This record gives sequence, C-alpha cells and structure tokens, in this order.
Amino acid sequence: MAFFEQHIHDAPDTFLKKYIFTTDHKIIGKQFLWMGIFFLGVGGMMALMIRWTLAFPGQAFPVIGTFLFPDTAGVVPPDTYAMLFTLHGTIMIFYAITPILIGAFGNFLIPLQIGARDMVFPAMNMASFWISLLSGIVLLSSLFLPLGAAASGWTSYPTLSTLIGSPGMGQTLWTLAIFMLGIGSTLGAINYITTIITLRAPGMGYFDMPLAIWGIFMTAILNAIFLPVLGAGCLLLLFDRLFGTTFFLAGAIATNGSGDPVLFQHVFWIFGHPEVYILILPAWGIVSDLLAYFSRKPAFGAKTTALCMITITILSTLVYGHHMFTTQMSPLLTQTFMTLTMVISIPSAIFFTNWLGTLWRGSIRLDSPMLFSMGVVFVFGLGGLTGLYLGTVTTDIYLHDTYFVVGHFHYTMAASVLLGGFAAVYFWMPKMFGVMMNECLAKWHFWLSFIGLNGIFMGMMILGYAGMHRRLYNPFVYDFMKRMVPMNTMVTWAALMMGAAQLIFVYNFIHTLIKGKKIEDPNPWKVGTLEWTIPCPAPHYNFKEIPVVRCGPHEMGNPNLPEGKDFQFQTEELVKV
Amino acid sequence: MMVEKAENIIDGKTVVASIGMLVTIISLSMLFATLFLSFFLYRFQATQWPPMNLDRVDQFFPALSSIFIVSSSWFYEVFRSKKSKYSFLLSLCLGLAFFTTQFLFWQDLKSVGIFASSGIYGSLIYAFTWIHSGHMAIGLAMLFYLLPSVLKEDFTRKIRIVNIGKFWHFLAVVWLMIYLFLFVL
Repeated sequence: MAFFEQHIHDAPDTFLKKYIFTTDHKIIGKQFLWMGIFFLGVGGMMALMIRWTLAFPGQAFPVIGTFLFPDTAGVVPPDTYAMLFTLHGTIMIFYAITPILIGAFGNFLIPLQIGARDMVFPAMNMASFWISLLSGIVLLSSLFLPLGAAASGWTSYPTLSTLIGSPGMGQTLWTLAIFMLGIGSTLGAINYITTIITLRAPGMGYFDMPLAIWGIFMTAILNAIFLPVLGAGCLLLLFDRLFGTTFFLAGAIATNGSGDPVLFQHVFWIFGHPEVYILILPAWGIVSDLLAYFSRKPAFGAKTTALCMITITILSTLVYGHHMFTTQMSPLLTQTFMTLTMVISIPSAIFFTNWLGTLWRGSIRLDSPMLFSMGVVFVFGLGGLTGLYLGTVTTDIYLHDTYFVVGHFHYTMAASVLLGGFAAVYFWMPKMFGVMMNECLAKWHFWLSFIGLNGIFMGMMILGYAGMHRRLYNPFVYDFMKRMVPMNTMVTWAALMMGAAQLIFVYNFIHTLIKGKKIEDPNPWKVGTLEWTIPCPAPHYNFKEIPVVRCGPHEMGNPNLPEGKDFQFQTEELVKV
Repeated sequence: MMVEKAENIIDGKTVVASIGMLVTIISLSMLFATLFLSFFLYRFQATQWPPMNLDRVDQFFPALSSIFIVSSSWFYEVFRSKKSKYSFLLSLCLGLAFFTTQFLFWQDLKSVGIFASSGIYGSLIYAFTWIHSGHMAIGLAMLFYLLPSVLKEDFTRKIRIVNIGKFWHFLAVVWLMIYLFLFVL
C-alpha cells in the first residue's frame, strides 16, 4: 500500500534540469547506464591487456600499445600490469556492474514496477549518482599520477596497500574513491528500501512485486548494512596512509604499538562476501522474471524464490571467513565457516530448481532477452557448483589464489551478472527509449559472448586446477607453468572474441538510439507488470492514475483467459473459471 | 472525508522519513560497529593495555564531553516535547561545547605526547574521535538548519524535528560507548 500519493510535477523545461541535474528516476537510471557502459569499456580494455600479457609475454599490445606504453615499445610493464588487474577488478565491480544493475535498473524499475511516480527521496537519488560519478573520476585520475594508480589488487590487503607496499598517491585515491562510492551507494540503498516499503501501489503486497524488485530490495538491504563496514575499513586505511596511524602495521601490539594487517581482511570480507550477493541478486531477480515472461507461464514457485533470496541474503552475512582459510584461522572456525557456506547451497539449489521448473513445459520464445537469461542459468549453475570446491577447506587450501578462483568468481559475478544485465537492457530498451534493438545482431552478440566467456572462464578453471597462480606478471618463468602457454593463448583468443562481440552490442545500442524506429505497441513483449500499462517511453510522471494491483506479476498462460490472450495485466482481476 | 484524507497524507509521510532515518542510523551503526570490532581485536590481542607502557589518558575532557552531549540530548527532548525555544538553543550550545571539549582534549593529548602516529593507542583514540566528530559536524549542521524556524517559534515540521533528534541521540549513544570502552574500561 502506498503510504501517500506523490504529486505530479511539471515537466522539466531546461536541458540542465531535464538531463543533467534531474530528479527523475528514469533519467538518473539512464545516467547510471551510460556511466556503467563507459566503465565496462574501460575495465574490459584492461582485461584484454592483462590477457594479452599472459598469452604473449614480451610482445607489444596491438594498436594502442605503443601509445600507452612508449617506454617499453608497447609491452605492458610489470608495475602497470599490477595496476591493470587492480583497476580491472575495482572498475568492473564498483563502477560497471553496480551502476548498471543496481544504479540503472534499480532506479529505473523500482517506481515503474511498484506503481509509483518517482523515488521517495528524488534529491538524494540525484546526489547518489553525482557522488558515484565523482568517485569514478577520482579513481581514473589516479592513472595519471607519477607513481601510477593503486596496484595492490582489488582487495587492497595491507601491507601491500599501506605506505610500505604502495608509496604513491594512487592507493590513497583508490581508498578515497571507494569510500565516496560507498556513500553514494548507501544513499541509493536508503532510497530504494524506503521506496519499496512505502510506495507500492494499492493492493500490491510484497509477494505481488516482480522478482526483479525482490532482488533489488535484498541488494539494497545488504548495501545499507555492509557498505559502511567497508567505509570504516577505508577510513582506517586512509588514516594509516595520511596521518601515520598504525592500524594495519604488522608487529606486536603490546610492545611496539603496531596493529594487525589481517584486520583489514576481516573487515573487507565482512563486506566483501555480501558484496558478491549484492551484485548477483538483481541479476537473479531479473532473470527469474524474464524466464517466466518468455516461457509464457507463471514463475514456478515465485514465493519460494523470493523466500530463498531472503535466506541467501541472511546466510551471506555469516560466511565471510571462507575467503580467509589460509590466514591461520583456527580449525574450529574454518569448519564452521565451511559448514555455513555449504548451507547456502540449499536455498541456491531450490532457487535453481525453480528456474528449471519455470522453463519446464513452457511455450518458450527464444527472443534475445530469453537467450541471455538462459545463458545466466547455465553460467550460474557452473559458477555455483565450482564454488563448493572453494568453500571446502581441504580443497581450498590447494586452490587458494589460483586461476580456479578467478574462473569461479568470474562465472558467478562477471558472466552471470553481465548476461543478466544485457538481458535487462534488451528487454527494457523499449521502455527506456521507446525503440527495439536489432534482434539478429542481439543474437550474434549473445552467441559470440557466450562462447567467448565460456572459453575464457572454463580455460581459467583448468589452468587454476593445474596450479597456475593469479596476479603473476609472467608465470611462465616457473618451470611447472611453462606448459600452460597454449591454454593461456586459447583463453586470450576467447577473450578477444568476447571483446569483439561487445562491439556488436555498442553498435546495436547506438544505432538503435539514433536510427531506431519508434515502436507502436506499448507492450511489445506481452507482459503484464505495471510498467507495461503505460506508454513507451514512460512519461515523466509515470502513472497518471496510481494503479490498483489485483493479481501477481506473472499471470500468464492461464487457461481461463479469453481466446487470443495469454497474459493479463496486474491491474486486472485474476481470471477464474 | 477530505479532512481525514489530508491527515492520512501527513501520517504516511511521517513514516517515510522515519524509515529513511532508521535505515541511515542502521548504516551508521554498522560503521561504528566495525570500528569497535577493530578496537576489541587490538584490545584482546595485546598483553597489556594501554600498550607500550603508556599511561592512561587524562579522563577530564572525555568526561566533560559526555556530560555535555548527554545534557544536549536531554534538552533536545525537552524542546521537542515542550516546544520551548530556549531548550533548543541550550541544546545547540551544549553541542558546540562538546566540540570545544574535543579540541581541548586533542590539545591535551598532544601535550602529553600522544599523537595519531605514535602507536595503536593514539591511533585508536584519534580515529574514533575524528570519525565521531565528523558525524557530530553533520548533526550540528542539521541543528543549525532547524535554527531559523525555531527562532520564529514555528514547530509545524514535527517530522523533521523528530528525525534530527534521532540522529542527535544516536551520536550521543555512540559517544557514550566510546567513552566507556576507550577511556573508562
């Protein structure tokens, strides 16, 4: 139930008000989308440089290499390599995935799908975007410093990240940027939570919300609770770097007055493990919805799916220790964390079965959003299963810090989230911009990306199982890794293919925006959630009359529906015999 | 019918702002909880406390700060319930007095040779007080934001007064915990 009815504001008249300092959640969502796509490009380029160095060590990076690294004639130098993998991780997680799935689709979908006219705190929403953008600029500016950007990995463990490990300003700016991004995301999260609680349309209970909103809701809760934890860690690290405090200095506390480097790992992973669910939950929600829409049947066990999301959200806060099995944790603790980690596989399995149940005997339409969603089902299954080996102490001791870990978390965090994000872009393109993307190009994009990313991450897992360590500049100087060159070359070619596939997406996206034909049907996918009851693209006030919700979000394929119709809007009474 | 609806609108908005403030306070309490986690980790790993054979810091200014911040909170509550302008001004002044004692406290620490860079004991004290003072500055800015309407004896923005009060009390509670764990125990 909406707690109060928002007024319809006048349409913004100036360019500045409409597109720059806007408080309209749809425009802010698009701003986040552009920011995310830009950083996705930057982070992807960095990934290609890393891959190039691993496959062809000592060879110049093609085309832009000589321009970027003139001192070494185009070869990526070792210190730059460390900066590249650090910034690749940071940018992809905090500046690409977070803006696209949480910033863009969170903002865009929440009011539209729950039947509200805007977010509940529009000015805070605007602040959230501008703080995030500013922090992105701070991070990128660190690349131009004399000693270069942060180079201690995206986890920034002390003592690599204290003044001992990285004396330059780059690490300081990294810490500052993450702290600022934390403020921005927390503001966003406060907004999302309050909006979802207070502005649901009359008649819409929590279980009548689309599952996408459920995913974003859970994400926002985790964000609001755990980003401040990282914020505190970043503050202490900043104090260590700027004011000479000794929080993360190794040594004996009582006599030297030094601190404890492992504390940062605790703080980082108390935040960091929920963070991986922060990233994946919106994608899960979106995919759960899309699978139902394109199978033309209700989501199988939608309520269970929502409850599983809650369970996973709660459990995700209790398992952070499995990232730290090799830090001399007591065996009692490692076993506790291992057991709790294994427990997460129960709700995940229920969740996964629900997806398969949704697909089972549906009349599946293989449009591009559906292809991407089924891609998520595949890669998430693989990523989740390989997680079991890393959550188990005995196997993790061997696999820790190898490419197996890299492959695993890229499958869950990169591949699933990226495919889910693309599914969302293709699906909501008509709602966002009033145009449809080219279907043929979208399918090419999917298949090339899908084959490419499986090549990359499957290859990484094989390499990791063989014992290849991550973050090594040239691993092939070690005897036992010499024979891994061909596999690395294969992974790099797959990465290049995946990179090329994204060019198709960019072309398709831009071309559609400029040349795309306005769609005539306001409901091209024949879906009944609230955002499709209004024109495309949505007017600035969203709903002229606040809708009244009478049934669930995926009432499709109901045999009682009249002839020629296989779905009903959420504003219609559920059709019975 | 119309009157009833208008009242409902105000009620709805009260809840909205209160939920927003509640989530904010939960977020901030996680921030301070993390700081306390670090404190306890160091405290229980050290075989002696304070470390490095240091003396305990002088408790005069922290105690004074506690008195100021608690009475400031109390006068804020008086202002909220009795709608009295003078309690608000008193609360504001006590908030400023808290700041003053913090500065004096830092001066005092420096005079006995405890700096942020002189070991974990100083690090902890400075980090906690800095971060808390940063939030106090935000709280004071909120009070100053209320000031013009209070001087005009305009108490219609009840929701705003209540929510700013919650933030102010939250900071008082955090300070009391800092006082208890860092200075008394």
